[in-house]
Amino acid sequence: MISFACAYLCSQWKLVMTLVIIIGLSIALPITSARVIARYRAELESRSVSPPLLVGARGDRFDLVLRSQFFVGELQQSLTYKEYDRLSNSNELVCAPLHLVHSAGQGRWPIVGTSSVYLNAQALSLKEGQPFVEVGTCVIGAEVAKQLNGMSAIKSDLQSTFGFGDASPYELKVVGVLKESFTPDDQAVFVSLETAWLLDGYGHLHQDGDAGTAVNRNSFLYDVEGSHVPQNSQTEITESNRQQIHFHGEQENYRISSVAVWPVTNEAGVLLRVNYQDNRTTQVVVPGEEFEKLMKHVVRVGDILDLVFVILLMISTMMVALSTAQSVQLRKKHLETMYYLGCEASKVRQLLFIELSMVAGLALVACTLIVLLLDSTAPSLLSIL
Amino acid sequence: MISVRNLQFQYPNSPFELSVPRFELEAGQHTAIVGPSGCGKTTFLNLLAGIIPWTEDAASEFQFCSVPLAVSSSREMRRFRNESVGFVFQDFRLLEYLSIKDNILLPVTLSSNARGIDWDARVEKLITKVGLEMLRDRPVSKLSRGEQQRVAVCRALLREPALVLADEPTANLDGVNARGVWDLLFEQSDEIGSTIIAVTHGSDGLEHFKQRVSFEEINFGGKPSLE
Repeated sequence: MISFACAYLCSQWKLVMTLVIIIGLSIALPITSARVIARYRAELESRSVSPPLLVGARGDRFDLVLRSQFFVGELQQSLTYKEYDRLSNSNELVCAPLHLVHSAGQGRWPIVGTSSVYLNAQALSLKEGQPFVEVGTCVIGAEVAKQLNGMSAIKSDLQSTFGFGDASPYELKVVGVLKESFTPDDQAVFVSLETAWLLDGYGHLHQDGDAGTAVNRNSFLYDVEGSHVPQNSQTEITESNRQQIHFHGEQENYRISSVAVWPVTNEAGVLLRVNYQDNRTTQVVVPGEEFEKLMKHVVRVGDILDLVFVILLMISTMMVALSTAQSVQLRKKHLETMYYLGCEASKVRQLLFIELSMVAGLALVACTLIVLLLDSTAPSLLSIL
Repeated sequence: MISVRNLQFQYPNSPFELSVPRFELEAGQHTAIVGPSGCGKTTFLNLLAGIIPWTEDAASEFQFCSVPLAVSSSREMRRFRNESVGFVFQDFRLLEYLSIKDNILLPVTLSSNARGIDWDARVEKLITKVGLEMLRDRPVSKLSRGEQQRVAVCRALLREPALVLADEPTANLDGVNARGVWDLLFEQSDEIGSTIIAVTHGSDGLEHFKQRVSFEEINFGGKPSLE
């Protein structure tokens, strides 16, 4: 009987495929949407826990959180190192500076200037190698390591479109690889603040006798005392030339993007927020709260999607009903023949049930495949979100 | 073997009336019922097969091998049709998406009273006799009309039925194919001892029948009408 059912479905393969795809999509789309939103929420929530507080220049709060937590692009406003210095003097706060300006691999990997405190606080441990102690060295995330495929150095990206600017790209020596953490840290290149400032152009290397040229008037380095741009900048830092790296200006005025803060006690966190409440240039942001606001929007989008899916489901149900009615009409003569031949009514019903079950089974398989396919592309969907 | 008494039948909202006071056949007889188109021959065959249910009438009687069938339930009539009747239809009534073999096996596949017999061997024997053994797995939609009707005859004979009903089985076939179908039907029926009742509106195949009856002789209902 199964072969009879198969033969009929094969003879009607276009109708069957249409039904299978319609039913499969109708079920798979709401499931996938719910799963993607759940994964998005889980990812945001897990990331928003640590660090619990962020200090940054006053401006868009969510922008500060997104860029400091997910290392997406450059913050429009920056802090000075002085701010970090002040915060880190407190025994009640564990602080890590974040310098989020540069990238490598044509924008694929953000270069995060920070201290070893960040790695410890985020429980990022080294899979191999050593920390980024020296200027010009870096520790890379697990995903970056996979993509680098054993290369021992990474070149930072050019700062301006045409390659002209106050800072040159440097070759950063990979001295360590982090264990996989399934967070944006896997995609990042971690360097010391000194290295980040070197990439900024506060510091540089140049040959003897190269007095350099003046800094562009529009550059943030213009106000830095004694700063200049080497005419023949050396971009490869070696053991021999590392000692020649020098910085201009006062370190306390060097820029950083934000400060990640882990208060030792709840009171310390509350106190920090109160202290900065009326500050006109600097703000304290709780990432968890910002993500919660974002999730409200995402859930609203999810609700709209659910409504769309309900409408889609209604349309597809009508299409399935129409196709089934058409199919029954087509089968009328077949069923009549079965009656004429004295086939048992229960057996005929059984045959029809097998046919319907097969279509339902195929739809279920299609649904599973669609869900798996969309699931595998979910990370890229999340990055779009 | 077959005994029909006082059969009265009328389609709803139709002037057509079938009235058969008496119709009897002995086992193994081959009878041709001849009559013009639309006189009710097919309706009569459908009533004999139980495809059209008998009107509840106390005077009606239908006995097959001394078993009264006129008052049988729809389920019993299906079973009777499946196990004791082989029907060859004018339009073949094959399921075009099934293979030759599956079409022949259809009545036993969709029946729970078909255990204990090697149906595959029977099918093999039948299709070898009709020369379709090389095409057994081919869908019937890809066969010629003559081949299709041979498949329909094989299906009707699979159960080795006591009664074979043929409704103008060669009406859509050319002379050569028609002769082939009649030869097959008679040869096989004789082998298993089936009774044949065939209806036809022309002289086509009449030479095979010893007993020929005009439908007017059976039907006293009068006015012929479109079936």
